[in-house]
Amino acid sequence: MHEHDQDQPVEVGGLYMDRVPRASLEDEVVQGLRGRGVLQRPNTSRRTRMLQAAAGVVLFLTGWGGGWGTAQIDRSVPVDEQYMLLLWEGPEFEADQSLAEEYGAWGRTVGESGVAVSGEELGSSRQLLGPTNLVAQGAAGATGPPSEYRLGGYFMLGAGEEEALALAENHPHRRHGGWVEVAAVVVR
Amino acid sequence: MVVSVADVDRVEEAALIQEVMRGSEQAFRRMYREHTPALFRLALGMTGGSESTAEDVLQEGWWRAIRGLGSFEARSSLRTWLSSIVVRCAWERIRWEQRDGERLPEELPPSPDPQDVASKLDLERAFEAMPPGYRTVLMLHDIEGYRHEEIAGLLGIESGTSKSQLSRARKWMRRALGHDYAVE
Repeated sequence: MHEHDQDQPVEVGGLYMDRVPRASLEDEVVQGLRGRGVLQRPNTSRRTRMLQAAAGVVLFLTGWGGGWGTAQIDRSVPVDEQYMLLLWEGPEFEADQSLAEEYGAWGRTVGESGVAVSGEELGSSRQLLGPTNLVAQGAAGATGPPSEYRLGGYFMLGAGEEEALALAENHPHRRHGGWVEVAAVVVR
Repeated sequence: MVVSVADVDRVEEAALIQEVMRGSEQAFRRMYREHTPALFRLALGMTGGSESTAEDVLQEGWWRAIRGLGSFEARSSLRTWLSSIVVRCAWERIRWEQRDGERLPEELPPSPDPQDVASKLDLERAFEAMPPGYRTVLMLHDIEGYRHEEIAGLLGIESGTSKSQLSRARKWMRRALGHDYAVE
């Protein structure tokens, strides 16, 4: 072969032409993108999805929820080592930026100590949907749950206000005598 | 006004992109099926024939592509844009696997025994035996049709380096395939 031929392309045109990706790779890629929140399953509302690490998860604090859709809950952690802090506040409370930073710093400190932690601020505007049998309960006209009621669990929805309210309307908790409060997560 | 097939394709592609950006799984699957076979071969070539590594590259590539789809400006075809993402992912993977500091090889490897090569190595095996830097430039230039300036931009190297690597890669292949016993 002459030296001037050295820079001619090598005939490799058929390289890997018979190699195709595994058929199941498509589903794996799709699942990965779903998990990252950029794709939704066909025939579901595009915005109705769980946020953060709670995709498809119902976590009831009282321990009712043993295993409904436990996709993202870390079950390697003993159940008695998963707790939620619920922050109640009076009407004079004002969640300004400095407070958000203070709370955020607390969360980071806790996280750095090795405790898994996440949290969000909730907006001040709330809507309460009473049980479907409110009248039968003898509580017609009630604007909120009786004082003896306590928080029993939560759902996170990746939805706007209108859709969240519509979903809350049909939540089975209301048919079981419970109240559902709808609050926006504040993103600062 | 004459509307070409390419114009129609471009409009359909733009509509598909919009659907995917809105989160449509069905649209994504259409996009995936159209482009993945070629992207897979590209990843496979750059990473040396390892299907599991090529799959990793594709997974990461599709994630970056969908995340960045809003920045696609249609100055190139979607295939070209996707290919550039896969090239970068594969190159990052190659560099990560060489994180002990190995750079693009500057010297030609020792010539294998021509008789041995001619009897045992086929095209793919010869290709996969090449140093990753040679393989990458040969793949991009001679198979994918990139120009040296484009390769330089994708890989973060000088275009002169791309040219010299291509020349060495071709010599390597000719030797490995037993087509060039006399060089050097």
